Amino acid sequence: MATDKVTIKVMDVVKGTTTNADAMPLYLSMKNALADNKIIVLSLHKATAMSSSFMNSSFGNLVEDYGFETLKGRLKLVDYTPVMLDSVKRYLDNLKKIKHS
Amino acid sequence: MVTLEIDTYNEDTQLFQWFRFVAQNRYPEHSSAGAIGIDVTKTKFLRPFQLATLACLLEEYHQHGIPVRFLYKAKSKSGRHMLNVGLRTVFKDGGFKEKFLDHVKKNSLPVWRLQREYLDTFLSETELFYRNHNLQNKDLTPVRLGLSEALNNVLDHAGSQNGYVLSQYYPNAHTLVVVVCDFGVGIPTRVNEFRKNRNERTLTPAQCIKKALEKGFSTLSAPHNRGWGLDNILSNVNAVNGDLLIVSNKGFLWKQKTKWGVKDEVDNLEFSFPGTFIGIRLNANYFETIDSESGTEIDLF
Repeated sequence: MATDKVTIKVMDVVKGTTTNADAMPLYLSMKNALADNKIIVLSLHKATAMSSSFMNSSFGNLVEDYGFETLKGRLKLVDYTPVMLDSVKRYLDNLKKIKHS
Repeated sequence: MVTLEIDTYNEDTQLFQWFRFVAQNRYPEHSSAGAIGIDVTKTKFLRPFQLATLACLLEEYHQHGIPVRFLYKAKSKSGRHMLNVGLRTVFKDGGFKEKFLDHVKKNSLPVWRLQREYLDTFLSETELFYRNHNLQNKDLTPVRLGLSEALNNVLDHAGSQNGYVLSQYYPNAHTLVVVVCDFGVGIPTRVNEFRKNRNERTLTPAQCIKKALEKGFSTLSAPHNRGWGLDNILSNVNAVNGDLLIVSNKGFLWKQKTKWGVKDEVDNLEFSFPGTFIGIRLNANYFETIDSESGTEIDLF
């Protein structure tokens, strides 16, 4: 069971939060951390708004690789504004609905 | 020279007449013209929806080597506005060369021709501009998200290099208007191409636009598409009590607030618009004030 945490600051890892290509460094960072059996604490400190394309290629790809169940408790968010949190949660809720439909 | 006389169009009652005008005056109609003249001598004012579509129209002529001329009365509002938003500069100088044009007015940004490599910079600059000049202390996530989804839509699906974006803030109405136009394939064409490839029956243009807004539907123009973009634009607009207009090929969707409530229309057109126009009107009164970041860890899954 994973217990060690690693903090990934989104804006340190990516150049932007708009396109699919922008998301790749984040996706790879998260994937590596999960492969190392870490719990990820994702910091949205000063993060710009994340488009659906960006979330597809980061969170969406992670869900494709691992599934919702495996990711439970493995990915935490911190340094978020309410608007940002709402945006990410809405994306994941919609993804869950699509996956289960 | 072929001269296109631009009338004043009321965006509530004459909107589609403008789109028809653009569709009917594309390059193939005037391909033998020595030049295209844009005559705004009788135009009282030009709205963002006109300016962005005009930019795409003029870009088309420019790409075919036909020069553009502007006819306007000295000191006229419409003539000055075309200068302020960069239209006269861009097409007088032979096309969009710069990464970004300098802004002249404090409540509007000049036209920008969509370029993938500068997309993120453009979005950041737009956010910064409106925060510095009009919407201090406001969380502009709805603006950035609406823009990024609309621009990604062009980049992923339009199949065209001809795309323009424009925005303007109306301080008296506390409204920010963002318009994105491309002369690409169009949503109905893409949707029906996708359906044909899967041996599914084709849909009407209106049905195609409705389909494109369904969560999770994607024509997979690019392998990473998952079908959230247009739905996100609509959710974003709803969250800030705004309006959304999509005009594409022979279909449109128009969600707008009226005095009598929300008007939601999806229907077919009698003419075909070349590509896609997305117009977003955001009510700034519904923008949150900038909030501090939370230090509390929260589980995402």
